[in-house]
Amino acid sequence: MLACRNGYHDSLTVEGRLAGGRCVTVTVEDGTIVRIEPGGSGRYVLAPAFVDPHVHLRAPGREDEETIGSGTAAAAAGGYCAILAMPNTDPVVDSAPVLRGLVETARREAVVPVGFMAAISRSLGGDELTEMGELADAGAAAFTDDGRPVVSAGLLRRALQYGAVTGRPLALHCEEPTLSRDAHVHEGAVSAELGLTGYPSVAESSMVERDLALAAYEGRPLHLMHLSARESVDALRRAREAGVEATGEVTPHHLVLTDDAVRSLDPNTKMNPPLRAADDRAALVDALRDGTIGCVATDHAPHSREEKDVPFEAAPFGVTGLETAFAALHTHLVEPGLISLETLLERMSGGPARAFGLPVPEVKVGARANLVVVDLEAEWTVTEAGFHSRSANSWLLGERLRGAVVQTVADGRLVYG
Amino acid sequence: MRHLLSIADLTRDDVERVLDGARGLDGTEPQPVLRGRLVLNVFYESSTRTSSSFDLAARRLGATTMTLKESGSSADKGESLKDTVQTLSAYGPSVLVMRHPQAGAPAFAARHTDAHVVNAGDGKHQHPTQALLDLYTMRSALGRLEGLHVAIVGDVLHSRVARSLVQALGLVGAQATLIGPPALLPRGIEALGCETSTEIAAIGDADVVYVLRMQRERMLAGASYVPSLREYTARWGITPERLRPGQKVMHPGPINRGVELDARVADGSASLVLEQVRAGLLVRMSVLQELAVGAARLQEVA
Repeated sequence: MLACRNGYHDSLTVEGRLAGGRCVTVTVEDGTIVRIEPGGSGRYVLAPAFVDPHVHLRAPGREDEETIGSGTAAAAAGGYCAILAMPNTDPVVDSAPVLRGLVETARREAVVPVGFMAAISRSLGGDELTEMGELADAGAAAFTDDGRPVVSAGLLRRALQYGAVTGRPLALHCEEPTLSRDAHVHEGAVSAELGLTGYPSVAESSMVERDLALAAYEGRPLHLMHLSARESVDALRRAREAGVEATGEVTPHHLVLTDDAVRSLDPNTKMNPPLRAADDRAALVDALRDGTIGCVATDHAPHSREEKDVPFEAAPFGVTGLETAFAALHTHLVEPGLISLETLLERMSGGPARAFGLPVPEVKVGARANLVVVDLEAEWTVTEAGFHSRSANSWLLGERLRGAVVQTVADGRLVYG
Repeated sequence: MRHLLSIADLTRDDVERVLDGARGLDGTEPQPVLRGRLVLNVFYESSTRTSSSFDLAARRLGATTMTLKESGSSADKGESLKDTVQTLSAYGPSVLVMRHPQAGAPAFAARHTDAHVVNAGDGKHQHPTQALLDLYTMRSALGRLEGLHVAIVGDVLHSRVARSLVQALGLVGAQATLIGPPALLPRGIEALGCETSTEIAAIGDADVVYVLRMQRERMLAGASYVPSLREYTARWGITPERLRPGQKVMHPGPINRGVELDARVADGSASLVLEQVRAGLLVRMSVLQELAVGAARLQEVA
């Protein structure tokens, strides 16, 4: 299901302090952890590497913005050992030949293993199901129409039912389009002041409620992407308590920023779903802490410089995130004491891996080596020149962050550091 | 002032200075303080009064002016706003006046030019010179601004005029109440420091009833901000019967007679609409002076 460049597997040793505080030296032979011995430098933290369930690699179609090679190099620099790529490319990943082409390219280019999601509906049109069985056989990691909601409840129901055949999860972008038409920012005091059409929280949460109701009725699992509103989090919590097999993800930018940041009219504060109010942000942090939301997802969305160097209303939605996710969340959530380092590391690694049925990265003898080493003391400034991604539409440009990825080992290979 | 992009950037002193400057220009032959300078008017949206008013204001002060309208310009050929601004800036304009359908476009332009930029209306965001000329009109007609109560009636949601005016009234110690159909009162607008009501009776306490233009496209299928223009007029239209004696009526133009404003009111003694147009010229001259010459230089000239 995950594809990566072929090659040798490293034999190497990695030292660091485990989240529990123990200093260890990990020996990797042929890509597998063979020994974990006490001792070694405790200067850096050693943890299971990260898994990002939501990345736009822009290939095929917009290789000027990102390629499988550049996007996975960015992932390696961000501490990731696996990422899942979205199918809203040109052409859309809605047929087995397109998917097989991507897997082929990944075998040549991918620095870290990539799983490709396939579309739920043909051409993301929302009308007919893709050939999900064949796509699953060709290696689709999951199914999503990300970028768009599945507007038809009937079609979503059919997709949920067919999940019994594919065995792959559905990941949903929840947005009621008649409530978010022409919208650019969260509906509230900031949209009112700036005169920008508002995207109300209920445009997301009403769709979340509907999707969870369908999942409950069909008894099928569901993954909710890039949650942004307090009401959506409440709905997810209630559904999970009622036994629905639902998981959720949240992005670093929704965990750190509020719509107050939009007052700058900086196009790098424009994303879908939009940055919301302070109580929404607080609810997202709480949900990440208590596990209602089990995954951090970057929704890494590269855009060319000329596309973003325009007035706010003309700019496309989306920001990059692979190379800044850990540092941003360490700086803005862990250091102020909003969540623990252990929780952050779990929500960036095991949480997303389990939600998508991927191998869970572990620091244990016999496991494939998927490791990240981070320096919690390192301070650095986010600059355009520092990115491995082909794009630089980061919401953190010019910001100073604390915490840096020092080394990444993905599927037994040292891919960064 | 380096630019005039939003009322939110101004202090009360800035506002007083512009209004006093306009009063100083009233009834006098202006000094040609902009002689030899270029004022560019770049309009990406249709406009009659604002573009003519800026053009005339700049000429009165001795400037050379050039007005570009979107149709027929390079924007039609796909040129980016950044390239257009940089190209026009190569002529060395002193002031760039811009109207644009997107919020933040003049602020964006200001980052790519050495000229002083004046926002002549950006999307539904701001129209600062309109708010300043409205304050000038109110002060001239009522003798004060502090403590005035202004009812702003109509399509607030789509109105850059309403947003700028609420902020400007707040700066000078006046009070604003926004009145209109529920879907045309933006959620969260009270944070600007105003009250809202869906009842037209709420104009009763106001010294000034400020009427906004009601655009037909708001009734299109899928929008349905109000069920029909007829229903809008019946519930929120400003008629002589709804006004209290002594109340003044303003409108930024162009008026939809018989829709948001009854013709008898538009042509009646309560109307300050033509005073607004005259104030527009004076206030825009004052703004251009303030930006291109600066307060210090102005004193030297005097």
